[in-house]
Amino acid sequence: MGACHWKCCKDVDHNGTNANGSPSVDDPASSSSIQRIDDDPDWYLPSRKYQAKIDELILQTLKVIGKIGIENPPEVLLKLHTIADQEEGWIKVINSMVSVIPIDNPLGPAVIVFLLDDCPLPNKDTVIRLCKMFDLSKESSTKGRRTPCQQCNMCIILGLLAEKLAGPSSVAMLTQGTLEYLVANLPKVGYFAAASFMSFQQCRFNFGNKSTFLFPPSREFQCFNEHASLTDEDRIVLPRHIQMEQLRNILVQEDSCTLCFDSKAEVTLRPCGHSQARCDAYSFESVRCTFEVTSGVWYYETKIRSAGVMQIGWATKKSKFLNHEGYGIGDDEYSVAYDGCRQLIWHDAKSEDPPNEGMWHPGDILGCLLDVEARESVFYLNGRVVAVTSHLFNVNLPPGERHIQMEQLRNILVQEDSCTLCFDSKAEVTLRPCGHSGFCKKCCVMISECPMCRAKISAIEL
Amino acid sequence: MSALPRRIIKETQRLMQEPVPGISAVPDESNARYFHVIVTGPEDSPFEGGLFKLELFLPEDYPMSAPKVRFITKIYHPNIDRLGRICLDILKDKWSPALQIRTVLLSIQALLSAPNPDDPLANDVAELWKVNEAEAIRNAKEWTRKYAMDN
Repeated sequence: MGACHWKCCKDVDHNGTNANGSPSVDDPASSSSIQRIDDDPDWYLPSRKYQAKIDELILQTLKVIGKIGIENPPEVLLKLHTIADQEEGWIKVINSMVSVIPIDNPLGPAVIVFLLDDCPLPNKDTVIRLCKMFDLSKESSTKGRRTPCQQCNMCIILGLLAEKLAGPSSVAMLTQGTLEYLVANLPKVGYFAAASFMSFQQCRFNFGNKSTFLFPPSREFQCFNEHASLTDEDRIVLPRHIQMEQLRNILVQEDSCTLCFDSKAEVTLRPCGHSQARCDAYSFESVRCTFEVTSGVWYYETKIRSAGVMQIGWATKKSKFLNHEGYGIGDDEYSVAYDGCRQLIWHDAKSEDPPNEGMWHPGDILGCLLDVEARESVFYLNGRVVAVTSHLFNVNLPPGERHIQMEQLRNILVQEDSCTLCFDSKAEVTLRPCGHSGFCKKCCVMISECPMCRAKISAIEL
Repeated sequence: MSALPRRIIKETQRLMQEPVPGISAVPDESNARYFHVIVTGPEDSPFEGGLFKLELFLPEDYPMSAPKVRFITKIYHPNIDRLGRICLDILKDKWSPALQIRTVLLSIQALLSAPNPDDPLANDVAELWKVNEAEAIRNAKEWTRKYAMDN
């Protein structure tokens, strides 16, 4: 994590000026209002006064998100988190995201995912309120006051909520109006509407509320199908004439690399023998080559097709890619990657600025060199060195060390009378009215139903 | 990553010391919240004889929210879709923090013994299961042989 954004946040808090010189927060009065959101107990009451401040916090998040390590949320995120803790605040945060996140910022969807992940999930009433506020219908998608950018943000939010709330809440969101809204949006915001659609469809299968789900008229349905095939066809979409098996054969026969897919990223084999990877999902998908190198000097080039956030580099077999948790190359100690959008070198989920200017643009060529003997990797942009790093070779974990850690885990003692949910604290409370016990106070405040019998908890007795 | 909660350590210990028959769940070497799971197909089910690989991930707020579980091995089952996602109430709205990794995996094994085509995730499979159960079972056996028996 770079030191820079902490500095920015502090500057805003204490001096009322922003080191980045953003015009909106240069005004001392406005930044002192940001501070007040935390202090004023009535900040969440219906009032437009805070909406602008939340807008500002969202834009700040967008600015710093590039530097965020997975484990170190910056202050601005914590503030938004506090705000979204109450229903009114949550609605406001969503509202702000819809209105201020720009469509052309490749980090926009990432901010939405990050905030929704981080904030408490809304209850059914809040979700219904949100849908009402969105005013979802066929008409609103064409005639509404909202810009295409706001429509796009709304589709992303709807899709994410449908996925997260899989259950009655998500079914409640999927009204005829929502459905028509998404379908009408397909030609405009394409993938995002389709992805949202797929999330709902998934939930409908789970909860079987068939009455709310009616397929749209045929022409639009056709259009939906074309978009939808991006996500749901066996995890990977290949052009019809190249089957997966053939692809493998070609690659193996040429004694070149094989690609390993476990994501929504789309990989195509071009006639020239190059492969092309594309990802339209808003989760961090990864593609990796499984060809192993242990010695010598290796080099490959990637032509950048869009200027978005991507991490490209080298990984060992141990590197784990978890798309929904946001882990990809550069996010653990076993890989190193370069991202020319945020202009950062990534290793072990920490970023550092490269020594040389390295913003990438569509059509640029990123070169990745691995020199096993010299123990370094070099990143080139259009032939010019951007950074030299030896990160990948500094991992000196003896092969057995992980096992030793597991062994130690096994030997941790757990007290007999500890809470059966967390095993951290003493079990000291009884739930009323059901009378079940064996839990600590800390766990009990996080649940509303008894873990044993699902009876509603009306009181916790010490 | 913050320190591993004692609850996860405790569950992991128990999975190692008293494994559930027909189920193996091993934490990943580099991520103690990610488990490599193998479930054997239950006897007298179309999945008998198969070894099904799954992945299980304990989210940050586990046990307050359910583990995320997915079949990696392809399986022909009305409640499991092509991406291996599982339709099981305890993984969704019926999750309780008193449930554990082992109880979740036992429930999944039970789901293999008792497919429920009335609450489908894979619609085409469920449809066939309802109209022509014999053929659906044949398909399930065929997939088990093809995808779950090769090693």
